[in-house]
Amino acid sequence: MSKKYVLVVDDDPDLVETVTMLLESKGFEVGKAYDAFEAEAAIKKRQPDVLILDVMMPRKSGYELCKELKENKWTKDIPVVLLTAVGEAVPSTTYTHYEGMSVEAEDYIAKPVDANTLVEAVQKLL
Amino acid sequence: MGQNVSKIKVGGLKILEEGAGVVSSSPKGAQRLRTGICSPLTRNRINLTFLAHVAGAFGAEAYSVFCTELAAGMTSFTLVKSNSAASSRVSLHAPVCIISLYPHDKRADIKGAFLRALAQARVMVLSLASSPSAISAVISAHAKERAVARLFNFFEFPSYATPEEFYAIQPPPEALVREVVAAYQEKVIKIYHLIEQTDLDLWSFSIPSSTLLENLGAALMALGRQGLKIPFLVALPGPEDRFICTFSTASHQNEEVVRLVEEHIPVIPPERQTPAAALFFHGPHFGDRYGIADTLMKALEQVHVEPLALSCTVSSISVMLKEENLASAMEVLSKTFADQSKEGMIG
Repeated sequence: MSKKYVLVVDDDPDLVETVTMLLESKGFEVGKAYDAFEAEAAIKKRQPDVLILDVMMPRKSGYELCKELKENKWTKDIPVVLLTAVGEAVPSTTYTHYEGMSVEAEDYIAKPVDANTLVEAVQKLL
Repeated sequence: MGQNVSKIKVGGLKILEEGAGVVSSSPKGAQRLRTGICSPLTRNRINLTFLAHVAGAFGAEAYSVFCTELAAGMTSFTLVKSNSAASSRVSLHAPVCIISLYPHDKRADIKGAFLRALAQARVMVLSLASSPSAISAVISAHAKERAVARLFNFFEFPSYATPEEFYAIQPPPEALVREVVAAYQEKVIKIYHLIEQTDLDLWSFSIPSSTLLENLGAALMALGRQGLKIPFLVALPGPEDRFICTFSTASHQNEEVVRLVEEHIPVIPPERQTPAAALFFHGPHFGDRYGIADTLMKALEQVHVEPLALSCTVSSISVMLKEENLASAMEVLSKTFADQSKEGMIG
């Protein structure tokens, strides 16, 4: 049986490395992109089974990319997990769980990502 | 590498601008990394955006280079100076920027090409350090544009084909600095992953500063052509206007390393420390909180372990130890940091 393909998108390369290692250790095939535009190009080449998307990225946020993907008939069914460092420890933010869910991402996980939580979130969407 | 050589495809470039760099050295034992640098900065809530450290290379001094945001540069310099031994040397360099290229996939040729690009751009490098995914250089802010221009001769990036396209999409420098200024602290610092790697050699070279980049870059590219991986690399100013470069390779490749490096770097014989082990702390977001390196050093001091070398850049920390110290280091660090991967039972 072929491996499920997960695309990880984050402008922090060390985080991409870590999440890739976690997912590969669980048997997933993993693609990497370091910003939203690179992610768009990667998705055009090959649609992932799940997209893990950092919210706070320069140029175009994960929030914006998620919205665009969900409004496009070719990509609207790609399950999206939003990752964000936004949480109670950070004093102010415009990216909230509520806003994440309002753009119809399938899930939202706060960083640092618990390994079990991430894998369960991905498996639930497959 | 010239125009006829294929460019290496990598993921991207990051530049952290508006920084200050402090170079520090002291007689071995007279200044510990924690008491002289990490703890004073932590007490003053100053965040490190970069840290490179080599302890006792060539049996003499310990050397460190760290960066902070520009506004904290003078304060940091003063703190370190006042906490250093009388015979220590401390200097402030500003403004600086940190250029990071990723991912390197531990490939020696990627690190080598990075250095050669900076050499050909005639950039004076204050320090180099690797993270699990990126290789970073601290350079004068005034050299940024020619450094970036030359990097585009060596590397191909998916999101930008020219330096102009790269600059066009960069957020304002102050925005990036805001992302790394300390915002909060955790009682127990969470990390994504703590990885150990054993059976390594740690090599240290003392080479003339003027030939550092070109020759070292060529040496690393030669190592890369042989398929050697370099999981850890740090370079910083050493004694007598020379640079100390420290990097790790698998121990069974020691003869190849000596042969290839000596072909390119006419230096005194390298020091080899073996067996060595590496510890890699994968983020998150070490860049936006202070005191993480200090926490690490305090933990290692509890078990009387001193790092041979250390690198803090991007969002991770890499530490080189004597392999005999690995077990005690892992035990104390697993209690000090909350390893999310262990909690998730992923090994």
